[in-house]
Parts: sequence; C-alpha cells; structure tokens
Amino acid sequence: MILKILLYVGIMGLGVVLSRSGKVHDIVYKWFSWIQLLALFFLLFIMGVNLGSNKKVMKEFGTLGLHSVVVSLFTIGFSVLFVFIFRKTYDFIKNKNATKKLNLANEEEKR
Amino acid sequence: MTILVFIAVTLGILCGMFFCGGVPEHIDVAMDLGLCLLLFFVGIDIGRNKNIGRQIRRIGGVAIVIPFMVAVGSIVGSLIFGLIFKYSPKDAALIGAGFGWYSLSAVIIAPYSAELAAIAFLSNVTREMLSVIMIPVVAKFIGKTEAVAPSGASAMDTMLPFISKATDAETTIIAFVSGVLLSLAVPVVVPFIMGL
Repeated sequence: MILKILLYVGIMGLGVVLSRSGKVHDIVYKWFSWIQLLALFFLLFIMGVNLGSNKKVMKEFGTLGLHSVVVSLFTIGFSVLFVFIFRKTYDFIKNKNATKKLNLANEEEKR
Repeated sequence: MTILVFIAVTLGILCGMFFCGGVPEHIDVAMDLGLCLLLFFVGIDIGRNKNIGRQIRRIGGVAIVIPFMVAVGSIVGSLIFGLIFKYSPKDAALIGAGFGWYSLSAVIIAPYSAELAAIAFLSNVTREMLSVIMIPVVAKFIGKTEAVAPSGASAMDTMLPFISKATDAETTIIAFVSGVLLSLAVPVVVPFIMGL
C-alpha cells in the first residue's frame, strides 16, 4: 500500500519535474490529449477484462446488482452533498471575512 | 467520451468473459502499467501549470477537509440506504466505508459476511463506473471541487485522469490528496466499524 502510494507519487512527480524543466518534447504536448486518452482506454479495457474474467463477480453482479447500484448512488450523492455544503460554508466565511476587512479599510479611510 | 469509455469497458468485459479461462495471471501488472502511464501524463499536465506552488499554498487545509467530507458523506449515504433496504446500521456503514476501493474493503469484510463483502465489492466497482459519468456532470453543473467526491479513494489513480480532464490543475491536486487520504482511511475505518 505505502509502496504503491510512493510509486504513484514518484511517477507523477517525474512527470511534473520533466515538464517543469522543459525536457518534454513539444510533440508530446501536441498529441497530449490523444496520448492521455489512449492510456485511459487501455486501462479501462484491462479493468473490463479483470471484471469479465472473474466468473464469481459476473454471477454476483446479477444477484446483488440492484442493491449495489442503489448504495453506490447514495454514497456518491451524499459525498457530493457534504462537499457542496462544506464549499458553500467555506465560501460564505471567506466572503464574510473579506467584506469585514473591506469595511474596516473604508472606515479607516473615512477617518 | 462517455460512450467511448463504455465501449472500452464493455469490450474488456466481453474479452474477459469469452477469451479468458480465469482472471489473467499478470493483469495486475498490466493495470499498474496503465496507471503509471496515466499518472505520468497527469504529472506532465500539472507541471505545465506554472502557478501550481502558489495554488497548493492557497488550498491548504481544504485538501484535508474535503476527503473527510467525502468519507462522512459515503457513510451517511450507506446508512440511509440501510434504513430503506433493511440492513443494520453497522452492515450498511461497512458497505459505505470502502470509499470506492473495491479490492480492499471486500477482502476485509469477507470473514465477517460473504454477502456484505460481495455487495461492498460490487457497489465500489459500480461507484467507480458511475464516477466516469458523474465526474464531468458534477464538475459542469455543481462545481469542480464537488467533482472530487464521486470517485472516493480512486481519485488518486484510475479516476484522476477523468477529474483532471473535467476540472483544472488545482482540483486535480485536491483530488489526488483526497484519494490518498481516503485510501489510507479504508484499512482503519472498515475494521473499526466491524469491531463496533
């Protein structure tokens, strides 16, 4: 687990460093979206093979499928809702503080 | 895009069903290779943004609060599901505590209940699949930060390219941090709920 996180951070960091230091050829940037898309589809295809080749999973998909879809919709929905509530609260507090600072500055200017 | 994604997954499933006798031996290696390739390009994408350092400093504590909100939302959502479908609060919370990491939560839950383990596995697989559709929709109609939430723990790997594509470099960093923290939380939260 820790090794995997380190590997992922390392690979991503390598991309950042190479890109920052200008070592990435212009041709890569030119075809960037396509390369990224191809890599993505390769991964999705492999993910599909992984699921399709697991007979037990495919069998259980039919039996418990409905519950799984419903619970995943609930977890997604409530996760989005909680992040939404946090962002709104955060923005509200940030705006309130900014208005407070602005009012204080205006008052000082008047004096 | 979504149609192409479904075609890729469906083709993979069909290949797996009809051309593979069992789970291919080196499929984990192939998945890791694909992941590394994608993460490398995500890194290049982030590196192209010259203001990223300033953005990270600006994000600050938000990057920690967001995964916490995703975790609480996942468990609350599964508890409400449990109320409707008559699962005990403990069992329902266990299903939600996988935070989208299907390979781990199901394995931890299996000795406790095979049925729950199967639901945990399938619901987290479904969560990942649904995230492919939900991420661009949430980013467009609700907000970029909220687009981090659907994928849960997989925001650090398989879903990161989707988040990167639908949002911006700043949200991609939040997503990665969120995914890492949620992944770290799964092996702690699931056994904790099992012990309740």
